[in-house]
Amino acid sequence: MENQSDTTNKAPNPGIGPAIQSFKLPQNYLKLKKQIFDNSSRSRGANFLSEKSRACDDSIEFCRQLLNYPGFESFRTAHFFIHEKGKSFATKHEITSSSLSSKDFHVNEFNQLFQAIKKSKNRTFGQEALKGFDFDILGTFLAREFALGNHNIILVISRNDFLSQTKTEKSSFSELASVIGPYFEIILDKELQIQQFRHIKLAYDNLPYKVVEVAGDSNEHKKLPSGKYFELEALESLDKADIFHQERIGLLGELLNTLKHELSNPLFGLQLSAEILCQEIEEPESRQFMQEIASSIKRSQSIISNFTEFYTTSDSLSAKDIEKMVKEVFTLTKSQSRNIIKSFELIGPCDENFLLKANSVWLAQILFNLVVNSAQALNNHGGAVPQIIVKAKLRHPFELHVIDNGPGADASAVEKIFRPFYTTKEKGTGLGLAISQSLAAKLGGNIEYIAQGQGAHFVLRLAP
Amino acid sequence: MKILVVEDEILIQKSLQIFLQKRGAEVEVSSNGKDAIEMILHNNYDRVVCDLMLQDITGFDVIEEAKSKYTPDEISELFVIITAYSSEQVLEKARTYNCEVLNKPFSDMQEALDIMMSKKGKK
Repeated sequence: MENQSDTTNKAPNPGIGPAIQSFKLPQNYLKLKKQIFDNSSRSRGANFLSEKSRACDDSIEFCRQLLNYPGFESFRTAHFFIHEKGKSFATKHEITSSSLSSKDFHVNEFNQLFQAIKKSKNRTFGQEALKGFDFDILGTFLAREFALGNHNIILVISRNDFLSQTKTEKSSFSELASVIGPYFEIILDKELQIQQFRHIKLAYDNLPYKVVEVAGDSNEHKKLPSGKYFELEALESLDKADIFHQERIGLLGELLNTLKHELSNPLFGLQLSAEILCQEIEEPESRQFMQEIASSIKRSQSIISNFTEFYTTSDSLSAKDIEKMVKEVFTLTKSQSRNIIKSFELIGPCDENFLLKANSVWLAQILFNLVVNSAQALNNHGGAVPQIIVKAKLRHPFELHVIDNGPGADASAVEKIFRPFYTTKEKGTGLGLAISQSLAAKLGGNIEYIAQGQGAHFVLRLAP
Repeated sequence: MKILVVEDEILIQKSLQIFLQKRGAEVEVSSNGKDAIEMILHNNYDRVVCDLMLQDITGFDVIEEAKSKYTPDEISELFVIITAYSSEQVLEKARTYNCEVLNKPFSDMQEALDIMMSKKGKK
């Protein structure tokens, strides 16, 4: 008999892995268990309820099952009124074997009905009992109120006709009502835990990383409440992080486009009027001034047009495109790298007809990330003459190097730097290199860190 | 040649006016669509250089109103649309009126002015 209620201890969805904590039993479980055990030897009602509370995952389904209790054949509808203590509203559910209709109502009404049922002696009710209440219960009904730990409940079962209850029916209901209390507790608690579990599972499912249980080392790993250690493992394709990332790029692209539109008209106006003044002004000094203005305007227009091209995808890049991209990344990272000398070099001769088949936006993102990382490292620990050199090998197989003379990565950290959430920056997300590595994989290549004397040296290699 | 320039960016409006006047055209201007419609209906222009994004209504709305005075063929001859938009949607709609469309900023100023002042047939 005892083991009947033990099944509430099993996690309903073991598929999520041992990393997720298993169900806790209700706090007053032992007390409930004793009550149930005491009752079960006394009535068949308890057996029925044990089976149903095991089978059902929520209170609505549980009430629906009550309609199957032997003796309840004439009862078609269960009305389940529930008030969670402390809340200003209660909910009523009208349940039949095939339907459910739920509505919230004010707790005052609930309490009035609760008291009315509590006070009544013979517990069968007709329509007069409902006068003054806004409840729709057809036919004659049996009702009982229950005061539980966190909830107050009213259970009503009704017939679809106006005949009186038989003696058997009344005693069946009484029998059920006398033992059902603890089962309500269990089923409500189970319902709550299932909801909580679903939320947690949803959160885990939406993590772009897989939660993996590991043997564990308390210095290196975080511990779950269940006592187990876990690690986050990047999914092969890092799909979800990519999606967030790509969304941000998409938003950035849109922003730049809007900016371009807003600025393009005024700039065009400036350009045209500057041209006119250049022609009209005769005084040499003023005329020269005007020409400087005109040239500044042209430069502004080309900056805007370049920026937006940066975020337009193309699938193949020429040598020139790559050089342009490097220059644009330098421009984009200017604010982070003011005092840093940046240069671009070619490795070996360049193949004139070199064409790199790669997604230009992803390539730009990788380069941008590597350059920003270098700039930040140099800003925090820069030596005398901070420098970032970008080198490109414009022959197949393609290579792109980003080298700086900053502190470089610690020997011990080298294998960790590409891991998600690993960062040595105070405000770092630890995702930049992980995302870059995954973009590199998408491009059919990889990023490697080359340990060298001083500074960091990253190389992106793409297969031809 | 009598030209109406409908453009709400003042510097562009005034500059285009001067450029076209230097080429010998008589140029009137409007900064908004509603005034432009009035002017088109009451005067007889040889050409209307019209921006799409105006403060009150769009250039397309202006063209629609002009239809009450001109036939579709005349419309395609009368209007030169100038716009900063390069989206397919917008270009397609412009094409339905069958008039010249110039993208701002003009890559070649002289060519743009040629189109504004020439008889249609340059399509």
